[in-house]
Amino acid sequence: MLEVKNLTKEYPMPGRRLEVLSNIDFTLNDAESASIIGPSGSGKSTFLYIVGALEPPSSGLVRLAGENPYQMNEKDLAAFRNRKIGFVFQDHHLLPQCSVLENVLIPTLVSPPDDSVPKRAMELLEQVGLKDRIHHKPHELSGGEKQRVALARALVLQPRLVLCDEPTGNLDTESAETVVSLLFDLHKRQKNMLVVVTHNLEIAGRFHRRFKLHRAQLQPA
Amino acid sequence: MIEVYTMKPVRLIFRSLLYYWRTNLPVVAGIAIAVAVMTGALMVGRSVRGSLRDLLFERIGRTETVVTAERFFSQSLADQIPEVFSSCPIIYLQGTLLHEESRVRMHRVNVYGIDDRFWKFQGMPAQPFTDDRAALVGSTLARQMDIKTGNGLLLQVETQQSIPREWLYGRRDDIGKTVRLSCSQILAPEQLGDFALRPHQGNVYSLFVPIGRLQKDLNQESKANTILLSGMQETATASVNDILKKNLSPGDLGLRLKQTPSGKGFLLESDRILIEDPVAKAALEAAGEAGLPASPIYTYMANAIRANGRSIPYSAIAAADIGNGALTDIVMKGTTGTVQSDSDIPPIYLTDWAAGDLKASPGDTVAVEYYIWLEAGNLVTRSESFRLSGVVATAGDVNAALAPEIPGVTEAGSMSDWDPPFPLDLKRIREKDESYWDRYRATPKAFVPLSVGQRLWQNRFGKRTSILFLNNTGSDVKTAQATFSRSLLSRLRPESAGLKAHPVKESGMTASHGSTDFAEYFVYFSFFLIVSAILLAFLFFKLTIEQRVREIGLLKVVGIDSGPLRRLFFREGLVLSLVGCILGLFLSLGYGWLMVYGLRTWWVDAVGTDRMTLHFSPLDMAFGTAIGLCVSLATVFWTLRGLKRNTPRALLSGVLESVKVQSRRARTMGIVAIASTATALLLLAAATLGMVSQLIGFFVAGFLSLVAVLCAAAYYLRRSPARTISGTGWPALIQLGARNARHRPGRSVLCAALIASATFIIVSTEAFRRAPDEISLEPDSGTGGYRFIAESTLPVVHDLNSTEGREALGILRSQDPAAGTVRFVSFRERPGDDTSCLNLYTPQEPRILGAPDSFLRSVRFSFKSSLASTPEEEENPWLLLDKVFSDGAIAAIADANTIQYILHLSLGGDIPVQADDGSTVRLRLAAALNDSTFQGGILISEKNFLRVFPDREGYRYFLVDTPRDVDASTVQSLKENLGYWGIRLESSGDLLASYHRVENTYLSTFQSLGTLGLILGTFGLATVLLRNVLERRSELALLRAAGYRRHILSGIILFENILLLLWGAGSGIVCALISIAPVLHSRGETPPFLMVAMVLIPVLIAGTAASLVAVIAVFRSPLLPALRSE
Repeated sequence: MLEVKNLTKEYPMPGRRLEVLSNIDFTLNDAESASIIGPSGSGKSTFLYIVGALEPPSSGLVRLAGENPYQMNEKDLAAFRNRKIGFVFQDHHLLPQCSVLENVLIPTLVSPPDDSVPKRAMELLEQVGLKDRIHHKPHELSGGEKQRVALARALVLQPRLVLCDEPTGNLDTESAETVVSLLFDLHKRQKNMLVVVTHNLEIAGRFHRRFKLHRAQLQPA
Repeated sequence: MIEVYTMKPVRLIFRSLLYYWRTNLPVVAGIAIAVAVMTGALMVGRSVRGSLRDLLFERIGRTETVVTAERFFSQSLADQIPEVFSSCPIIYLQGTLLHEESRVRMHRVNVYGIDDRFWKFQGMPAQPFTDDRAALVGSTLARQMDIKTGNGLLLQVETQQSIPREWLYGRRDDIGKTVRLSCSQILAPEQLGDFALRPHQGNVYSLFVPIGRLQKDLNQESKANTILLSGMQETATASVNDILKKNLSPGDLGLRLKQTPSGKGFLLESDRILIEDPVAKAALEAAGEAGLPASPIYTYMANAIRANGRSIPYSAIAAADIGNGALTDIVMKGTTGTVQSDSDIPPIYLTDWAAGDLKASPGDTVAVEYYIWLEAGNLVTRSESFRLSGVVATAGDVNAALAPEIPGVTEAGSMSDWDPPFPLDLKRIREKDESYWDRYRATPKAFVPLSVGQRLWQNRFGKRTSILFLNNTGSDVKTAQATFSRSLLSRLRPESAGLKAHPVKESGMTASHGSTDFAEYFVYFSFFLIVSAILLAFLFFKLTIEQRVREIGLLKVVGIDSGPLRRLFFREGLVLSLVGCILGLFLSLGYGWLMVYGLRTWWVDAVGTDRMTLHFSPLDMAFGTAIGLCVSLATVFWTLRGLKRNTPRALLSGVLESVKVQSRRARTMGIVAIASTATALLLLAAATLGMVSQLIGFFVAGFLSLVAVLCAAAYYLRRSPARTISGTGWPALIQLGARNARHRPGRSVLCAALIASATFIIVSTEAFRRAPDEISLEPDSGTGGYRFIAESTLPVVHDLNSTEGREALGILRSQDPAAGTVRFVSFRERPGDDTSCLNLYTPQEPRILGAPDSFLRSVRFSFKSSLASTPEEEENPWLLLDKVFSDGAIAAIADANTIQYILHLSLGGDIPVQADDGSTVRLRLAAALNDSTFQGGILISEKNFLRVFPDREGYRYFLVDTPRDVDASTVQSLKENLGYWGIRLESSGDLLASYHRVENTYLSTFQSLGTLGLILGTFGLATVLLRNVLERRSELALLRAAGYRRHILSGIILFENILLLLWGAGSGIVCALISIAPVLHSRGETPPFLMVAMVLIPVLIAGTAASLVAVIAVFRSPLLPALRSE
């Protein structure tokens, strides 16, 4: 379960402090999914990064499966992210020097040895329809295909929580639909928690729980 | 397949290295260049050392140790050396050679008298002499003088005399002997044509002549003065000395024992007439041990003995304590006995013959008139009064044996036939004097106390002409003589008798390490090249990191902690470094070769020989590689230190350095800029007001200005822009260009700093270049105001400033045009190793000059520093040479450059030297001359020189004063005059200029390699500029889409890049000019505009060319893809 309590995030500005998130409470149970919508600059991505243990909050609590990542040292925090959280960004962030399969296996560089991972990586690539492209380099893929590789990468270590920041933002409608479908499909298969930040109301509407960030507050949409 | 395909860090590293090869390649290249330059510099050092060693071995052949002697010894001494050694007696002299055909004269030629034993000793095929006037000429000498086989040669060498020339009986008119020779063969260096026993990398002029020819011409039959030794397991000089000691005979030491006419005893005499003090001391000890009564005798020549208005000319007079020791049997004549002398008038005893001739009775005053040879080169007459204390019989022990054998006198049939080395007025010789000569020969006519004689006729060579021993042992005289001889020899050290063993191979090898560490120098010289290469590697590694900042962000997101992340990149850097090092290792051979080639050609003045070859060792390569690896890994580590400073979110968005970090850095840079400016201004003020040294003050201020300019620029580039770009046209576009320079400020600052620093060093170094053609002849300059320096192969014992002296040498007679205008300052010389920068070998036995007292008081030359402790010494530091320190060290003066760069000492430092008696004397550096002609030797006072080196006769080094406006024909006349006597005249300015050429060559080397570094830096800058433009391709495409025309965009890019170039080079130049302002001012010179142009133009061309290439590359790329990427 993901628990967020009294979460506040402020940024120092000349002469004042900019409050992006204010006393947000949020809970997500295992196998649940949620979408967050909101205008640009409303703090959606900030919320996602804080929940994803990438950026500490100004105050408040984040707890995933009973663990507060912000009480961990850097080493444990990195291991926590590696095993418990999967990220998909608007930009795919694939390593151009690595093949499709290698990109999917990047998180395994620092994970404990697990013989099942390469097999799972292949299964995931099969599920995202890139089984025949495993040795291709990112520049040989289309935008949608790259995002599918990023999706497989996020899920290869079976994280408890998958966070997606505008995963279809750079894709055409068809590719976006494919990616979203795969996202739901894989979510159902892995029974993980899924949080997606999007501008696309149609996609947001397909989630079990829907939220809107407005004036630093997270409200049900 | 899936099971085996796991992702490992090594795979990611491998993939990254290949993918980013374009940026990795310059990293590898930078490291390779740094390693090549570093290792190459070490190779240069090894090559110089190795070449010097090769040269040494080529020149000494198989010689390991050399035994030299002050006087000739029997050749058989060499044969008595045990067979474990290979030995060869030779005659080794220095001479002046005249080529008959061309009339070219060469001074200080090494002359070797050899026979077949020499070639056998050297393990080489014999090079036979065709006849006894044949000469084998070294190829270097032959080339220099254009000698061909069959050419006639006239060799002038020093005649060998046992009797000191600077003493009454020394022959001063027969110093040089000319030997006619014919060149029979020219010997190549590998045939020992450059045979030399003293290491020097410069040209060696060697001449081999039949030993028999020299022995005959020098009147030294079956004698030699040098033994070459080899085959020694250990080059222990002590063991050679032991062997010499065991095999020496009195004759080898120039000593002889002869029975007295009475047969009651024997006399010890020396070939040089005067018995040296150590020998006399040993002889008296040996006599004491054997119980032999001994009487030292000092017999001298009285020009006149006068009393009662009567005079006896030219008589031997003996200083001996009659009635004591071995002289107890001298019979007093007459009944008057003896009278006690007054305390202030010393006693004298006349023989009955002399007393009768003078009609003198005890109590009468007797005046003795005698010659004294002054060390300055003059013969003077002095007189002393005595009180006649008694009359002795001309019989018994009073005989001719008390007088030494004087060539030209003793063997003369009559007094009129005398040919003494001093003026003789034959008119004064009477019949009765001839009769005395016929009957008593040189029997002394008077006796004075030994101490009185030694005081009156004192000299530095000895105080006794013989020692008389009375045989009261009961055995026959011959047996007593033999026993005494053994005892005497056991007490003598070979060194104290002038025989010295020199481990030439061992000391040569030590010397070949060189006084100048070329490895160190070339590391300094290549400093900017190394720094540029490292910075290039750093820059491109940083570029790779910046390029991959989003990747870093992603790796952090997927759980790769900063530590493993740094390790990942560090391993990449390690692979790049290793590849760079291996490549650099191969390149280093090329760089080393190029530098050694440079030393043989472009920078030959720095080494003075074209015999430099490349030497390398795995040790240097390993060391250079290790250093290169450490530096490159440190660079990688430094680059990666910033990875922790930003959040994954910021990294994902492509920001490596947070705004906070940028602001902090900008602030730091601003503070450093202000602090540096303030300190520079304070220093400038202090230097202008004379509170600190102008040279140092301005130099440091210039350097601080450079730091300030660079930090201010870094601050400007990192801070948030204060105002919005506004307006239209070129002013607005220029603002845009300036703003663009803020893109990647780290890169911009680094490149500009590199160019600025290199420019600063290159331009400021120029100030230290000496103008070789502007040598001052002022008395306080480096020439001391002396226009010429003269060096003589033969010892000059006369005063060259006196008419008599000049007449005696046959030079500068009154009709010569130069005669009236030339003045000489004569210095004594202990030959030794050149201590100037012209000699690369470490001086083992430095050349020492003895400066006359008049020179020390003439306040010439200028001093850089001294140990002066009194106002007089501060006014004239030469006076320090009068000093003998409480611990016995002797004050010495040397050139500051010699002290610092050759001797590696400082003021107060000691130089141990071997005195003529074999003891070690310490010369303590009391003052340092400022850039003088004395760089080749160490100066001590003549007084101390004669004390330490009493056997060194005459003067061989001269400073020559001529009027400023002396014409060329007078100079030519002077040269010819002196050349005839074996004296080489050299312009002081030329000598000083030759030292300056070496310094200038070092500077040129530094500047050349610095310029290479600058070019490399410019190349780095150009590449960065190219990269910057390419990174902003989409931005430029946007501007094009927005209607900016190509020439406008080109203008913006060019402005931005040239701004960086000018900023770097300009600040370097301006700050360098601040630094060197006092030097330029003091020399009245203009700034080195040519050098500035030479530095600035290539930098501007390279930078502009790179910008143009970038612009062309951008404009050739299609617009739409660039826009799409945005």
